Amino acid sequence: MALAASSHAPALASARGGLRSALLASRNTDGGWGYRPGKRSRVEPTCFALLALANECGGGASCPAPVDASVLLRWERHGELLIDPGATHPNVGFNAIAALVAQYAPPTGTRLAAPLIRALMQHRGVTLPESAIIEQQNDLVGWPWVDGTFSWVEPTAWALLALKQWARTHPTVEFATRIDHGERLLRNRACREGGWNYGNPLVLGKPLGPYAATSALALLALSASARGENLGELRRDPADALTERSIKTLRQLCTTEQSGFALALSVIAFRILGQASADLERTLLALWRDSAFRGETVATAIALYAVNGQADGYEAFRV
Amino acid sequence: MSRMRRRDFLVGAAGLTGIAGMALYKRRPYDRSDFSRPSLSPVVLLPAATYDVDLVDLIDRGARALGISFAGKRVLLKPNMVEYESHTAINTNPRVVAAAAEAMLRAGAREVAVGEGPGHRRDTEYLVSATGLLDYVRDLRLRFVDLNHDDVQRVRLRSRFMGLDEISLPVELMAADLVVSMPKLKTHHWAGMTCAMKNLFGVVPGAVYGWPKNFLHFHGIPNAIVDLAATVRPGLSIVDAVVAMEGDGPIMGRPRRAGFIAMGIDPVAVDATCSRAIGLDPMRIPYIKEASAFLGNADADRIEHRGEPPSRYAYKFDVLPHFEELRLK
Repeated sequence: MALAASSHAPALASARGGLRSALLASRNTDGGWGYRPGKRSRVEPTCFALLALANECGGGASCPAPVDASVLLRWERHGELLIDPGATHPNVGFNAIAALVAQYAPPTGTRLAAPLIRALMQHRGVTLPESAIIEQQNDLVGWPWVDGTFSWVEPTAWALLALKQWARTHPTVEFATRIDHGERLLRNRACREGGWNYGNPLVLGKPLGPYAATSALALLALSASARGENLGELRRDPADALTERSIKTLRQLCTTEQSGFALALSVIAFRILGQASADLERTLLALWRDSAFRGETVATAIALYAVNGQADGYEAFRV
Repeated sequence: MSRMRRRDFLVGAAGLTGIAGMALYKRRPYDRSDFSRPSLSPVVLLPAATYDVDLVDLIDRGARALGISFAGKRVLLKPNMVEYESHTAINTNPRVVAAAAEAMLRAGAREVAVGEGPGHRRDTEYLVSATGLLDYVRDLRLRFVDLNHDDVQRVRLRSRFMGLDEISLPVELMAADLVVSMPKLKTHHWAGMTCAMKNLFGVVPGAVYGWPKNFLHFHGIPNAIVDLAATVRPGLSIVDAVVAMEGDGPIMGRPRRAGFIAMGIDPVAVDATCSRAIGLDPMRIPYIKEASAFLGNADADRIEHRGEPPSRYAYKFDVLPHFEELRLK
C-alpha cells in the first residue's frame, strides 16, 4: 500500500515537508551538500540530496533550481572519479552512488554518468589468497572503497545498482559479466542467518552478524536477480532462499538498529521487494520528529526519498 | 578455530586484511629531529573497581599528578566506540568519557568535544544512541563530532611506516588544542592489544577510506598505528580498564574486570604499562616496540609510575593462540 494513501497521510505530509525544508536549507552556495549543515560539499550527501529532491519534483524541467546536478559536473576529479575536498583518494563506493544518481537527477544525464560508469568498470577490488581465518572466496571481485584494497559489500552494492541501471539501456556482455561477479561476491559474503555485515561473514571461526543498512542495500542490489529478471546473457537465479532469509533478518534488525540511514534504506528495500513497510515508515518518521537525524544530510535525504515513493516509485533502485 | 601457529596466522591474516609486518627500512621512515622522546614518561594508575566510583575526581587527580593543564584549551576526547552489543566491554564506557569532560571543564577547558569515527560501523547515528554516549553528551551539552564524516584536510605524515606521505584527517581533530585518546583496554585479534595508540584508527575518516578501514590494513596495521600516533600525537591518554576485554578482541572477546584507569602524556608509555598489566610484553608487540625507538618510552625503567604501583595490576589476560608468544616471560 502506498504510504500516501494510508491513514497517516497528514503526518506523512508534514514530515515530508520538514525533511524537504531541512534539505533545502542545508544546501551550500556551491550547489552541493555537506554531511551536516555548514560543512563543505561532499560527493555522498550531495548525491543523496539531489536524488531525493529530484524524486520530489519528478526529475523534469519543473524541478526547482536546487535540483541541479550540474554541481557534480564541476566537481574536482581524480582521473574520472569525483574526489572530495581534502581527500587523498576518491571513494569508489560514493562514485558509484554518483553514477546511479546521475542517471536520475537532471540535467547531467550521460555527461556525468558515462565517465563514472566507465571508471567503475575499471576499478575492482584486489583478490587475495584463500585464508583459513575466513571461510569465503577471496578471489571474487567486487568493488573496494579505495582503489588497491579489498572488495566490500557496500561499494559493491552501489556499483551493482549503478551498472544495472546503466545496462538497461546500454546492455553489453562486459557489464553483464561485472554484474555477475559482483552478485556472486555479495551472495558469498552473506551471513548465515541472512543479511550482510560489511564484508566477511566469519572471522577466526566466529560468525559476524548482519547490519540493517548493508543488508537492505545488498537486497536492493540483488533484487533484479531475486525477481528473476535478466541482464545480458548470463543466467540469473530466481527468488531464492538467501533473499527470503535476508528479508526476515532485516525485519528483525530494524527493531533494534534504529537510525535514519538504516531505516530509510530498509523501507526502500521492503517496498521494492513487495514487503509490508508501513510500521517501519512510522518508526522512521517518529525518529525524524524526535531527533531530526541529528542534522545528518544523508539520513535526511534517504528518508525523504524513502517516504516519497509511490507503489511504483523508487526508480533509481528498481533494477 | 583449529590451533594455528603465529606464522600461519600472519599469512592468513595478510590474505584477509593486507596486514603487513613492520616494514624493514634501510633508512628510518621518520626524521629524528621531528621528535623529542622524553627521558622519563609518567603514567598514573588509578583504582576503579566499578564505574560507580567518583570518576570525575579520579580523572582530576590523575591530571594533577601528570601536571597537565586544560585551562583555555579546546579539547577533543576520542573514545573507542566500535560496535554495540549489550553486556560486553567493546567500547569505552560513556561514564568515563563524561567524567573526563566534566573534570576538564571544571579545570577551565574552553571547550570539550567528543569525537569518534567508528571503524566497524558506518552508522554513527545508531552507535552513539545505542551505546548511551549520546545521552551523556547531551546532558553535559558537549558537541559530538562524527570523525568519519567531518570535513577533512590532507596532513603530512610525520613518520612513513605505511609508505605514504600524507593522509586525510578530520578538520576538527587538527583544530583541537589537545587530543585525548580514551581507549578501552582490549586484546586484539590482529594487533595483539589495542589501547591508546591503536585507538587512533578511529580518527581516520571512513567517508574517505571506507568501512572497515581496510586502507590502513593494506598498509600494515602496526605501520598505520605508529604513523597515526606520530602524526596525531595525542597530548593525553585516559584508558578505561575498569572492565577490559580479553581473548578475541576487539569485539568478540570476553569482558574482564581489571579495576583501573590509566593516564599518561606519552601514549607509548601508557600502552607499554597497560600491556604489562595484562601480562603481555610490550617489546613483543611490534607497534609498541617500533614507537619506543622514537616516539615514546616502553622500557619500564623509563616510565615513572605515579598513583598505584603497577604490581597491583598483574593479570594474565587470555589471548588467541597465535599471540601466546607476546606474553611476558
